[in-house]
Amino acid sequence: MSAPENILQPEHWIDRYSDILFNYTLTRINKREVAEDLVQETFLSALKGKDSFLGNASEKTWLIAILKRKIIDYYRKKSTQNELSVFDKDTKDDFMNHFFDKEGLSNGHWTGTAGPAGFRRDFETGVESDEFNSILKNCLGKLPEKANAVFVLKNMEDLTTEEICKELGISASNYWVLMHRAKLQLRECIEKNWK
Amino acid sequence: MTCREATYLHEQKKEGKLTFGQRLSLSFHLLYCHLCRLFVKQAEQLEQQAKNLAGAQQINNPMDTSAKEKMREALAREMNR
Repeated sequence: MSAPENILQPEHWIDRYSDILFNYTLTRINKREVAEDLVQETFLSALKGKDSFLGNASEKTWLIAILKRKIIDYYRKKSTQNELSVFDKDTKDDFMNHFFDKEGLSNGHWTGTAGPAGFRRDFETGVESDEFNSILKNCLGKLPEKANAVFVLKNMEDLTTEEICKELGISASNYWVLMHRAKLQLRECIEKNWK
Repeated sequence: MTCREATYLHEQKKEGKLTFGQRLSLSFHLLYCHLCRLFVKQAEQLEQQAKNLAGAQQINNPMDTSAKEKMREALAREMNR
């Protein structure tokens, strides 16, 4: 028995799904132009591949699956482009020296300025959560591309560490360094802006 | 163990990648370091918030009409091939 909703109706895609796919992308890549491009590419790929639609998922689920692939591809391309800059040794040292003392007795311990303080507001639902989410999106957007990529793919796209390393072409130890950096910077950005 | 190491190792601990010795040092560090305990708690809160955001289906930002029209044309061209 075929459910009537599981057929493809490309003529309705833009009206029905463009805003859904666009917002899905924006939560993962906070750049309107990139999101517009990925949504368009998703529709075009879907149209080209429509014979592969088996009808066992809804049209929406199928389109989102194609979009997920586009998002991973986007981060992979970014990751290859920025191969050198993110792992530049001086940048990395400067970055870590902001958070952790580099000499003396407190070597490796939080610096006086960058140690975590309590968030000034609790997490709540409703209107406040919209406000928090927009801060979160902005802070994610400020991370270096690769750090953003590992955080988003891990926590929002639910990929495993091994899958992320494979997709981005990075080693496991690079992955841990990037995730460490992402969390340090993201937490600090939220602390500064969530008030 | 330093705070730098503790915050670095915490993510690996969640995935069971630490040796017994590392787990022990990390637990000990967290026992006496309130800043790292706070970091770990907040980092986990942020991961949870990111997961919630990923699952939210709200449309807060509709796509520009002009962008939709361009897509409509591109899609129509493709359909008429």
